[in-house]
Amino acid sequence: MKTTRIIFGLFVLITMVLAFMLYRWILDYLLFSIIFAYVLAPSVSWLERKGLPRWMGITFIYSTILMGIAWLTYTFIPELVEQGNNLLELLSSEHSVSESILALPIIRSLHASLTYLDAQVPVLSLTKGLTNSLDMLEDMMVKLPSLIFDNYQLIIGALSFVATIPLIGFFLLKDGNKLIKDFFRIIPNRYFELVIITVNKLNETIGNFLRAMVFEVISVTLMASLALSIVGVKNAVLIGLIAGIANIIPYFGPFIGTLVAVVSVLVGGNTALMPIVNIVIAMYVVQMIDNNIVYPVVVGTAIKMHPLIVLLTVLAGGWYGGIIWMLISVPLVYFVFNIVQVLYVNLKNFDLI
Amino acid sequence: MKNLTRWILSLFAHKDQHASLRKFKFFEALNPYELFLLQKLMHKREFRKGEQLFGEKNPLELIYFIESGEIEVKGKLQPHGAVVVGKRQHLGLIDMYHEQIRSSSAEVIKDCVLWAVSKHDFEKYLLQNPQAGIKILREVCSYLSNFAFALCEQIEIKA
Repeated sequence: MKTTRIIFGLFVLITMVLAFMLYRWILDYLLFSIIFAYVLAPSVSWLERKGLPRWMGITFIYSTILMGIAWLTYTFIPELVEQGNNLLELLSSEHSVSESILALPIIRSLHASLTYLDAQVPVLSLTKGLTNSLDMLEDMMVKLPSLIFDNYQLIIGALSFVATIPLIGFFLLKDGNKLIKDFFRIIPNRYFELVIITVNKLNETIGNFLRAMVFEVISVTLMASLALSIVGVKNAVLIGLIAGIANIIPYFGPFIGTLVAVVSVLVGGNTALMPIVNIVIAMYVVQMIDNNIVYPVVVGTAIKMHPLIVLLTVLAGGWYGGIIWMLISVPLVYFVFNIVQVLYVNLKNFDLI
Repeated sequence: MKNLTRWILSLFAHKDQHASLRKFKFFEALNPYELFLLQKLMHKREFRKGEQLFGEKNPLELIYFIESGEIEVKGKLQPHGAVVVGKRQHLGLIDMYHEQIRSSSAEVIKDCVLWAVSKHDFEKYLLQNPQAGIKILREVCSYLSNFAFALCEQIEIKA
């Protein structure tokens, strides 16, 4: 009996390892689909309680989202094309990007200070360093269009990634409950209550956290779009959206949004100091409202992680999988920490450790 | 002829998919759709004789509804220290509104089939489906009232 059990256990283990090896390529897809399904699940359940079958509820929500995207595309694509043309013009114009940046009053005074320092201590050659950095930035900007064409396969891959997530999400939303129940079926009676408690707590934490995050992204997007429109930034909605998404990264995200807005003004050829100061003030006000009203109220159980751990996690995420992993690394670490915490407390309560 | 007609009609009759849940007093007033939503939250489990369902002072998360079999419950809330509960009865409902931990322990004395529902899911169901919630809570109140009267009678008898 015991030998049969061990052989069966080994068989299950080998099957699981093989399954992992086969499916590891789509783990990213699965992870994002789960997040997608988590965010939409309450709306689907609400429609189900009102008597709409799940598949119909999901179709209704998908249609609404698609209509929203279509409206946004219709409204902003012409402006984006114009902005892209501006960028191409700037890159091919006599005034290079580095010259535009050097024309900024702040950079100009920094350049003057560095020149003065270089004159005092010639070994430093700080001015050269600044000029080299700006040249590198310019090189990168000039190569941008060719980079897009050279990496078309990556772009197509990214597009198929974005298209696949709602498809997997559809089945997760429709049959997710059944899948979870099937999972519970294989749990031995002895651990059943423990597993239910753990899954419920995690479900609640992760679900609330993700929904709060989405709400925060939407509110920061709206506030940033409004604030940037007021100070006269072009494509305020698009930059607001970038700021909203970047806001997921605690502590460092808000700077990314501000940086994108400033770069956008520079790309537009405006080198005066006031618009940049206005952007910084506008984004600061947005952050003030977000940090003091939206985040405490909506996220509630905010991520309480030390800034150093956040920084290290974001860097590690960036090294591992680029910008996407920079965005998800902090919530992921938070979830893993939660799993360990909940398991530890409940294993102790059930006298299993 | 009568049997034939009954058989033909039975072919067209809609099978009650939630018949086993409807047999519990708490759920008999629910309509099919409310039962469908409730059943999505419930887990059907089988327990063998001798298995422990839960121990005293364990965290309370699951409420059990017994479809078949018998369970012995031991603890301070039981009139004679122990009680056997069986078909169509339930476990954990009183503790659910009292504490977060079990006041009794329960062991299976005859192979059981149970419907288990998480306290967390059950409360959410009651809140999100107010109509069903009222129907269930009315039955819970009736049960608790009977339970209280039974206890009073026992105290009177002892006195």
